[in-house]
Amino acid sequence: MVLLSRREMINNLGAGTGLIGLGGILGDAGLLNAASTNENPLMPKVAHFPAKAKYMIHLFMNGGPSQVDTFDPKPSLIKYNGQRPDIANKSTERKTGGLMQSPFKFNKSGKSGIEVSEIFPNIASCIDDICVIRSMHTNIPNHEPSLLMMTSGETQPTRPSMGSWLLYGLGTENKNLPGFVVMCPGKPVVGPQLWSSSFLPGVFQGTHINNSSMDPKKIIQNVANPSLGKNSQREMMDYLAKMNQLHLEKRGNSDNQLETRIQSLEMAFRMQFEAQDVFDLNQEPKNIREGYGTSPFAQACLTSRRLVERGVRCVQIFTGGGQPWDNHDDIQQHRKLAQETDQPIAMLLKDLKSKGLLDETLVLWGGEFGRTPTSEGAKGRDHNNHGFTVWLAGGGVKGGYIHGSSDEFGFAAADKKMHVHDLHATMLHLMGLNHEKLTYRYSGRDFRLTDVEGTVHKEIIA
Amino acid sequence: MKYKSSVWTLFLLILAPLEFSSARAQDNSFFESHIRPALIEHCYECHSTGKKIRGGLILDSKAGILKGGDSGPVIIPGKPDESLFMKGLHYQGDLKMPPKGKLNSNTINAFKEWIAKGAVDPRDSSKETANATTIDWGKSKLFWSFQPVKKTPVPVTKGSSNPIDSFVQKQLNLKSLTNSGPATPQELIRRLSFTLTGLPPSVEDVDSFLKDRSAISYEKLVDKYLSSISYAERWGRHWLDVARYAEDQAHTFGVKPNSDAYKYRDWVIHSFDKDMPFNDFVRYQIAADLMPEPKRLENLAALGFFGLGAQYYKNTDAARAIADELDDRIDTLSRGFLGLTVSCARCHDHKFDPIPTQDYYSIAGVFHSSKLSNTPVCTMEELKTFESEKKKLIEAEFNLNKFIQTERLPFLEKKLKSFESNYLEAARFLEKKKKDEKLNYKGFGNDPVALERWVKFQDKYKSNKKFAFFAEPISQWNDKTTDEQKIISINKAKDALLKVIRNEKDASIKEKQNKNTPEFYEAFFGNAGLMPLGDSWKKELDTTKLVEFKALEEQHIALKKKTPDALPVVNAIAESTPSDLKVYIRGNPSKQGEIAPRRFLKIIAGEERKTFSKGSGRTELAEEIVSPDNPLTSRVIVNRIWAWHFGKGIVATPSNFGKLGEAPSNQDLLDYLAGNFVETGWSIKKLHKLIVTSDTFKQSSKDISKNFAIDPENIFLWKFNRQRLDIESWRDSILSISGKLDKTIGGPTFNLNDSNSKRRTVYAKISRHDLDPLLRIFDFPDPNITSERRIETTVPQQQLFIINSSFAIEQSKELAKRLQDFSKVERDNINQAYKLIFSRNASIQEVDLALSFLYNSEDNAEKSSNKMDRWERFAQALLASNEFIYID
Repeated sequence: MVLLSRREMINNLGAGTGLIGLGGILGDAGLLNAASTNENPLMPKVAHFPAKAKYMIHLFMNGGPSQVDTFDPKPSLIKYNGQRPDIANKSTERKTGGLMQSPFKFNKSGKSGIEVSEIFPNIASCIDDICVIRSMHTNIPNHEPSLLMMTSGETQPTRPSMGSWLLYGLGTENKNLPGFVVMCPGKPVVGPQLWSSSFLPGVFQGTHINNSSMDPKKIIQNVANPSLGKNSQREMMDYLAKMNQLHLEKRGNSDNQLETRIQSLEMAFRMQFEAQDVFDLNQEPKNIREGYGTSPFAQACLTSRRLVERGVRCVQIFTGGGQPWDNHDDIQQHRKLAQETDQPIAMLLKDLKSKGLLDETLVLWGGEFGRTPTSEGAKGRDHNNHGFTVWLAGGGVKGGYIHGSSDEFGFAAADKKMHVHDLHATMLHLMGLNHEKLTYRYSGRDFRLTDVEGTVHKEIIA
Repeated sequence: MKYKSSVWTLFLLILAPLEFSSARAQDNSFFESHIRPALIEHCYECHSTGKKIRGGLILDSKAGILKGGDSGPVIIPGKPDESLFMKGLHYQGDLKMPPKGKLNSNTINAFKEWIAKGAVDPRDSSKETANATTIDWGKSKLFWSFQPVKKTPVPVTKGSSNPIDSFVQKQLNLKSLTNSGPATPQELIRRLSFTLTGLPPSVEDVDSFLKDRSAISYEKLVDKYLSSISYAERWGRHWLDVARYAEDQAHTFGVKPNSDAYKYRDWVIHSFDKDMPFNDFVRYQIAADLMPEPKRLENLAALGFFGLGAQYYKNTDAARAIADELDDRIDTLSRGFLGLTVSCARCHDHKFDPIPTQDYYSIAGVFHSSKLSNTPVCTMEELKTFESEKKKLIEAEFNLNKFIQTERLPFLEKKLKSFESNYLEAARFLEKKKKDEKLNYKGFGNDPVALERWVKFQDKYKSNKKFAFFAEPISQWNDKTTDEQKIISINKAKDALLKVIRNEKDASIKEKQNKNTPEFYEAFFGNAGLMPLGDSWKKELDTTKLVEFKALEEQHIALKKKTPDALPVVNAIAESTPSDLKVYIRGNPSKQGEIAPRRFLKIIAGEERKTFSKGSGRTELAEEIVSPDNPLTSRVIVNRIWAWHFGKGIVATPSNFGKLGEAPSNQDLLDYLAGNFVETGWSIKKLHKLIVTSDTFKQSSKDISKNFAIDPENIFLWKFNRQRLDIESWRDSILSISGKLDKTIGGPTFNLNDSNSKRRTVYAKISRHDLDPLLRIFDFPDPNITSERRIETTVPQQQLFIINSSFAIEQSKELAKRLQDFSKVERDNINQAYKLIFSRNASIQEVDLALSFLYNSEDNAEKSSNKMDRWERFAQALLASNEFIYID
């Protein structure tokens, strides 16, 4: 249970259209009811309009996977291998040389026949559930600004993350679990700012879980009591509750904040067990566990399904600490990274589907930018903000569909260009939120995830 | 706040005179049938007055389309091929319009024909265009916060002689509300102690206040608390929220933590401690470096207000990152001191307040003319002396090293010849045989120490490219390598090694080794190197050389003793080249408009304001801010102080006194406090005293249903607001109650997750990159941006901290010990717990409840594994209680 005073909410509600939009939501949920001044801002809220997607899982390929080696095949790279025609003469972070063909083969996959790199055989088998967006672009070919752009819609560390916006707009369905969970073994580049609530209330912040070891007792800070058994702790909590009750009665039972904290203590007691439960993967059948695999990334994928199943709004999984996909030296390293992630990702999609969850779970796969079709050194590729590929699955998107395209060599987005702001706008739309109405009043302005940008690409919606 | 580069601005085109030769009616119908529908379908979404206006281009009016975008026209009637508009449609160059996809050729041709025929546009041309926003200065000036601080006479009311009470009472009367009466003495002393010091009152203070509850006795307590360092530690922390104080940057690459950041924090605490007048407090934070001595030196650390500000990533698009840094300074300055959201005027004139973009860049120019600086904390003379001595030291070091290098080289070469092949071969041997074989290779049989060193050397440098050249030949050995081949490769490696050591050029060595000689010498012959030579080379010197060497060495030692490595510094700002900025059109640094002379905001300083002429202009900026004529600064700070006492400001948005902020709930009171504050020398302690001695502050926090029905949010202060302790006060108080609080003042920061550290939380490390989870969970503001107040949330993770964390458990145990040591009578110990934690005696009912908990039987299954005894659990329950964390 969370306390946020009515005045606080009113102060921070957006003005103009935002006020009508979100004000409506909160009104529906009873948040602006004058009779109750303290309500839980994490309570599930009615979206702006009905939507299929309720939950989001972001599979963050941090470091920036190469589009032309994964989901955007470019035969012209073979023809022009080693050359640097004008159209490939674009500046990125470092100096690059001539065009470099992909060392990987592409195979037509699924009924849709979408070509997928041989390094993703398992994801290829799910391609008919996937919407590949080949026309992504972003602002800056450096990790930090682009990581921030992808997670918060701004290149500086001054804005709330997308997960925080989702919690703010939609609340979460399980009050005993954090509503926005981030899994990364260690930390990605930039770090916690990527899941920060920034100027939104701290309650909307992502909870980082270091999934390098999945010990359910340690995964959420202070989730387990090291000193007392469950019954003994319960007894102590009962004594505490009695004292708090006396205290409340003496104050005329009229102060909601006191009562809210009493409830919050009870919730904390329950959370100890529920939170440990969700991270205990041994509860899964063996075939499911084996289907995902045993790497930290695989365990995170399985955990994400368990979280979403329990009503957690948003889960973000990083491939690894640092920036694993940043293969400047040798693009062949993509093969190894793909091997580590291909099976768990495909299993996640299949598992969600078999549980009937894929329809209401929006899955995003992608990095903060792509890589150059030109070579860096002999075998590597540089960062590329001009064009890259991401894919979406589930949550009401068209499966087996390709949206937009890049230029002949896959360097820059060309047709149906989709900026990160547009991706955000579209994803919020899929979650039932109008990105222009999801606003928060702060420092004299109504802020939104998409700043003053963002266009919903409706073509990708099923 | 954010710019978006306009794509319509690649060329500056000259608008040709309009000429309409064709039949107008026909052209109008062409426009209506081909042009208008296409504009509506493809362009209006981003280029119309009702929706968005990207790049300053409006296409839904004739005037807009003719005027063009941010830097010029987009169509030249009659000349489609020269019109930027057509280039966009054709997707020529970087400009591609509409961005979602190229239009079909029919539509493109229609536009071409339309422009070729003179771009006839029948739409009403009177609509205004994008850039013509106007501020009505006369009207704006009437807004309450821009009006001078009013001197309303103190209303005559019954009772209290404190003017605060008169102003509050007047309003209560008007609203038919009643004051809720005085708080109990226990409530009052507890409230006073927490609000002023962030710590609970001592049991002794409570006892003596209960004996003498007079106004004089209360006032003595106020003075005592205000003069304690605990006061400054608590109130300094309040200001650090505004200053978005932190010791590092949010991102990962290329930033060093500001290890001297704590000096700013200590300066703030020190300033509160000595009640520095607030106008000076402001001056120093903006321009301490420009003050005369000794003020400059004493207050240099104040510049951390900006010196610890955001530093963004500048690898690509540095211009934008620099502009973002300027924005951080402006935002913190303007919201922090003035309660104005000047940053909203970065891309366009402020939409609600009278702040034109030009004013934004006038202030930006001041900070553009300043730079970040690690400024030495010393006088100018001391700096000069230091620098000249440093120079001498460097010279002495250079001479000494030169001598050593020259004299040592022949010695090294001689030494080497007897060594290198053995080392190299042994390395290979080791690699092959691993550790299970005895190290009895012939070349090293007598020198296992040297062999071990070699192994370490290999480990250290094996991934260092600069040393790869000489590992390569032997790394290619395999089982089939013959002895002959081995000797050849050993010799190759040896040659390479020698060449490097002798500083010879050799194309076969891949890296440019010549540059690296010192590194190589160190690697091979340094004390931690492969063949540490120590001083043995000196034995080869003749007497003359030896004398020369001794002299050089002595000179070096003497200078080194005298000169510190570096002077202590503070993370500050300093003067750079003073220059004005031009307005960045739509916030885009690459597109600049009119000049913005460095000067203050027009709405405050007036049309005829002076431009700043002293260096960057920071001194003048500071003077404008603290000018008694400035209606904002004093109001903003007294409102902040008020809010930190009452939990809510008279203006509920302490950093926004503009139109979108809240109006003051009692402007007469606010103005009285602001006026009085300036008149009494900007003294914050006097303001505290005025506030905490008022009946308004001293009243009960209990509810009165009649009042609640009229004013449920207590806007008019008919009761005191019950407040939750912030994380600093809560943690510090737990330590204080357990008796373990370490009261060390100031100095470098400690880590909150270090369980040995029991200092006050204000001294903990504050990180933008990775804010401590305890702070984060308990509503600590994001230190990337200035914070006007803490948004309070109640979440289970907070409660997990008090029921499960090792900190909570450890302190509960300490408290249990303290309680049991108090007396042999259990009832007394229970009562003592209540006095320590709640500043009151326990009721009989409460003592009985506690006793029954203490004597309850243990759960059978858990009894042997439980690690806290019942007194410890009792202590923890009390520390986790609402009564402890909520102050009446």
